[in-house]
Amino acid sequence: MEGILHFVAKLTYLSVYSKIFLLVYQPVNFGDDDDFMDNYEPIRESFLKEVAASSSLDALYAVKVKYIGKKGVISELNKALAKLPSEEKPIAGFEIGKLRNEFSAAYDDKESSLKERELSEKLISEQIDVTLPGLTLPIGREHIINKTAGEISAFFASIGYLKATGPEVELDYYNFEALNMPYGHPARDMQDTFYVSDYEVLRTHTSPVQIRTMLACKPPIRIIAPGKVYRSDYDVTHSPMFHQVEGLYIDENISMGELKGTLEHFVKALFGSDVPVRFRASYFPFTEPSMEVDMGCSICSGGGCRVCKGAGWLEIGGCGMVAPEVFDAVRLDYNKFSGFAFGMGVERIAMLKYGIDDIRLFFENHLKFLNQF
Amino acid sequence: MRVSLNWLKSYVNISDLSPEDIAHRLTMAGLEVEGIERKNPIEAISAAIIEEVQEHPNAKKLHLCKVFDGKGRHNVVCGAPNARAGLITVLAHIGAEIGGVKIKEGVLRGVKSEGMLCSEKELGLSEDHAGIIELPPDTPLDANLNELLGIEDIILDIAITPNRGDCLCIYGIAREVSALFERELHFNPFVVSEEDMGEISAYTAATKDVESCPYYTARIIKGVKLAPSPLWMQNRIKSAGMRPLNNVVDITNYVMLEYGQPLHAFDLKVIDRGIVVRRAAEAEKFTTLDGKVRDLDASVAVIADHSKTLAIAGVMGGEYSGINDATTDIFLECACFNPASISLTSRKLGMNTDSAYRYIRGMDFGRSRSILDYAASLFSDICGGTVLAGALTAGEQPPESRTFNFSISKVNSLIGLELSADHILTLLGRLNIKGFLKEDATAAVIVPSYRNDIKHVADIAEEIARLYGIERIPSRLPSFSPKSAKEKLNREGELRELLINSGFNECINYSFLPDSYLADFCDTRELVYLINPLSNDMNALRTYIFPSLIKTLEHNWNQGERSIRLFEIGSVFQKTDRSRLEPLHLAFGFIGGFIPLNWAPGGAYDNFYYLKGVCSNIFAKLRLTPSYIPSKLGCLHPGKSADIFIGKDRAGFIGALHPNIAAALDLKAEVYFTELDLSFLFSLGVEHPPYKRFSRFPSVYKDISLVVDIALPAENLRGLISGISPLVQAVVLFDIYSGEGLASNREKSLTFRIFFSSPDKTLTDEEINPLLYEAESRAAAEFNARLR
Repeated sequence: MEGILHFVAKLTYLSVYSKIFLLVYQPVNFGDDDDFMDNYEPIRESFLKEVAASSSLDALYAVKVKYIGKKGVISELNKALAKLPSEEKPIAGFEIGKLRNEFSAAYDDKESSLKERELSEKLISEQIDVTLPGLTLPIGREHIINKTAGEISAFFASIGYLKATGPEVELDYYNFEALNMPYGHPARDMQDTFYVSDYEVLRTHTSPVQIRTMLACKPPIRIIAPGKVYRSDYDVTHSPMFHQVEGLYIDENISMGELKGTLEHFVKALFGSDVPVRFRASYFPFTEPSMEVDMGCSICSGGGCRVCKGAGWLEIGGCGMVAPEVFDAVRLDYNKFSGFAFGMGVERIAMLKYGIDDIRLFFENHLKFLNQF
Repeated sequence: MRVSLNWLKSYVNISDLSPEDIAHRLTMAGLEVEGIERKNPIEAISAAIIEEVQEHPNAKKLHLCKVFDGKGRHNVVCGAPNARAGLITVLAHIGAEIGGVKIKEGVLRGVKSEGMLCSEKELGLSEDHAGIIELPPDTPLDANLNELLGIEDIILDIAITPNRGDCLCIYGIAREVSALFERELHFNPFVVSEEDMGEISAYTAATKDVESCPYYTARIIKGVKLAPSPLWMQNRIKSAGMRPLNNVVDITNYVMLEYGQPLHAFDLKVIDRGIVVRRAAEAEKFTTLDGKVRDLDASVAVIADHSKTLAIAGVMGGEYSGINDATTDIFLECACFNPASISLTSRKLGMNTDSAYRYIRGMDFGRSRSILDYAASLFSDICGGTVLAGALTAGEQPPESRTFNFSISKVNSLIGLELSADHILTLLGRLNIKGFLKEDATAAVIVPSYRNDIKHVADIAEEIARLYGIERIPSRLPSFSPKSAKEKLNREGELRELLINSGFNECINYSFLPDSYLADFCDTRELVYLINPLSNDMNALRTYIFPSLIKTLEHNWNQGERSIRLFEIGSVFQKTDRSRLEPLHLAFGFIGGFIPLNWAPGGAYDNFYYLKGVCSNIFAKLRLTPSYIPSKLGCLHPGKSADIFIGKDRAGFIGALHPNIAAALDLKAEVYFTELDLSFLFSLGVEHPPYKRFSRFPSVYKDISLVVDIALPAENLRGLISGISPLVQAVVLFDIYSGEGLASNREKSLTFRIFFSSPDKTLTDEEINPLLYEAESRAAAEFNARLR
């Protein structure tokens, strides 16, 4: 309806405009015809008043109908025009057109201001509390141990290591003997072992994955093996179940130099490029030479504190060159190949990284803990 | 191991080295120094002789002692029971600081005291506080007590790795220091003065168990006088953390601490004709010197005479065969025991003695005879004993060195250096390993018997790396030629991410649980048990994850959490007849409702459907189409549970915990969970399908309401409608109604929106209406459905 009214208003305007055009080019004596003019003035005054007084679009439309509707006041004037003497017609027509234009102008002004007002009223009425929580479930979190193990694995994946896994209930042979720890070996004492049968244990480290991989694959071998391991120990820093990540690289001409370079890059990738890394001689039955990897204490930056026991260094893992006994166990030629292996405790790294002081928190699974990572 | 620098410096010159320097070099070379303990000198103490002791007039237990320190006389009040005239003891003068307390002139019960007579504990020498120190009668009063009593010292606490049994003695540490700092190693020479009294021939030694004891040797020392050891020996024993006892026992301990060789002294009169090393009898009971009865068996090597067992070989002596106050003649054993044999015995009997500890880590078998002689010399020097000429031996003394060849280039390629052969042999020379270059670019080395850990080229590489300095080995990255094998899809990671984004927190539970708890959820015959669990709360491996999950959900609920959705991915353990399987499982669930406390109304539907929604997304991710069939699992709510099938294989289940179990577990809210066998699902190996052309013409839809029996599973009807034409793109159930207008309790109305799509045009009503009619009539035929 509104659209149609506009259309009508526009047509009216055009026809008036063309009349003005004619008037300009037809020299006509308008004369003094004040009476005629006087007829229009009250109409102008009244519609201006009524338009101004319209407080809503509906009221304004009613005014429109009253003046320029089919039987509207101005429309009636137009009809009356036909009855006028022909010499009066141009002048009267001009005046009526003027009247109509003025009405339209007043109307348009009023209409747009009313529309603006109504829109703003609508927007105000539709306002909601944008601080209310969104209607979705809160996002969950990855467990910090899996997250940390994932970060470690991702670094090694990025330099060509493939993920490998092995069973958690492991043969004693793979867990110990093939790793140069025959029965009675003192290094077995360092790993209190859960037994499931005479010949099966809960693996005490991820190193048996090395053996399984070397038996199954030919060099070059590059694997990263994250997983659960078990030792019979339980206190603030020991959990009967924890996680390790094991790495293995076997190829021709692999030396301690490559081992150092790889792990230095790894520590810097995980803890920051300015963290110092050092290697010191150590012992593991399945590597020879063996080393411990230390990084500058993240708490005191090497100054010495309670966490690093004043040393300024924190042990983060063990590594070494795969021992000839292990090559023998998997029937790989030690003269031709060499390789390195490394392992680290995921809990320890997470504890160092986030300042967590009790390993048992990882397995209590309290939401107040889980939600922090 | 505790290493006294006072003691160490008698073998190697360390006067210009700081303790930190020594500690650092040892640590980097594999002997990790875990602590440096500084024992500071005590000022204003001196030796003093008690000249006179009087009763304290006002206190029964106190004495008034008049003491003379060589310069002046002092009156000191003392409560020690052993204060007596003629005793030379330690006087702390006014101003001395003893145990953090400054000695002041004081009045004790009305009597003035000008200092304090000290016990060992007060000087920090031991825990002995039974009386004041009794210095030897020949102690000069101007003696430097800080030196004499070993008060001033620095102790390094060194962690010795299991391969370095040779470093479990001070001389071994001295060897390391000498090699690392390139310093001369002193050996303190000794002379055994023997007397040939012929009597040794009355005894024999034999080993019937050459495997456990390849070599046994002993000497007899007669006429020893039991007394306290000399102070220097006591100090050294104390510095190592042991307690001095008497000169005989102290010498055996001292030699062990000095050279690493355990010795054992028997009272000669207990020994019947001689020694036999043999295995114990089955089920033999034997009382060790600590008074405990041990159950031996035929795997345990023992030292016996011709009528009885005397000691558990290499581990501990017997109750009646050892040294006592009446001992005058001793039978001194110095034996080589096989590390593996001692390890088995020690483990079996749960006895980890200083002696066993050293045997297990391997010791210097090549020098046991000379160490026996050294110990004998100490017995004659210190205990006034007479060493009988000759030694009893059984077996063969193992050689003092071992020879093998290694390749120079392999050493370099292991370390990543290019050292010359000369350089390598020079470095080895610092360890007293002699090497000779051979023509084929290999070298022969002669390794002394105490380095029984050095067996092949890798060990040589380790020694070279240690001495050259690991920090000097240049770091480099290996070349990473890409491998042809394709990395497997990380499906586990994808599901983890999906669950996290669905509002689930990941948890990690122990793999072990109490079997009594697991019995609610599975057949205990399926359980894998730990033989040696930490406790009965951790005695069996889980066969599913959800029992752990329930506990963790409950724990969080009891902690007051009220928005608890958890998942876990991990291995589970099932025993089968042939093998133990470790499938990877996923479990996820919630307690007390899926939708957390919220300002918007909603969540009116059964929690089951929210969980199933997550399941659906998982299967969509895996590109698998599951079917849900009401489950008969006993631990699930019979009306709110389903087994999940892929084809004919059960892949898992979903449901609410059975109310009976929930009640038995005292759960305060309803628990819903799903468990899926990921190993199985991943094994289906659904590859990413190729791209399919899709219709560019808009889909259109029509709704249809059908009234059916209230018990008809909606999925059956939905499935039927989906199948009426290939033009059906999707069928979505969007309204379920029962009540007015329907036969109550017997009927329900299901309203479906059917989306149609054609590959080559936009479908018109004329084309769709027959399909709707088809759906209606087939539903009527199959499920007795009618249009609502």
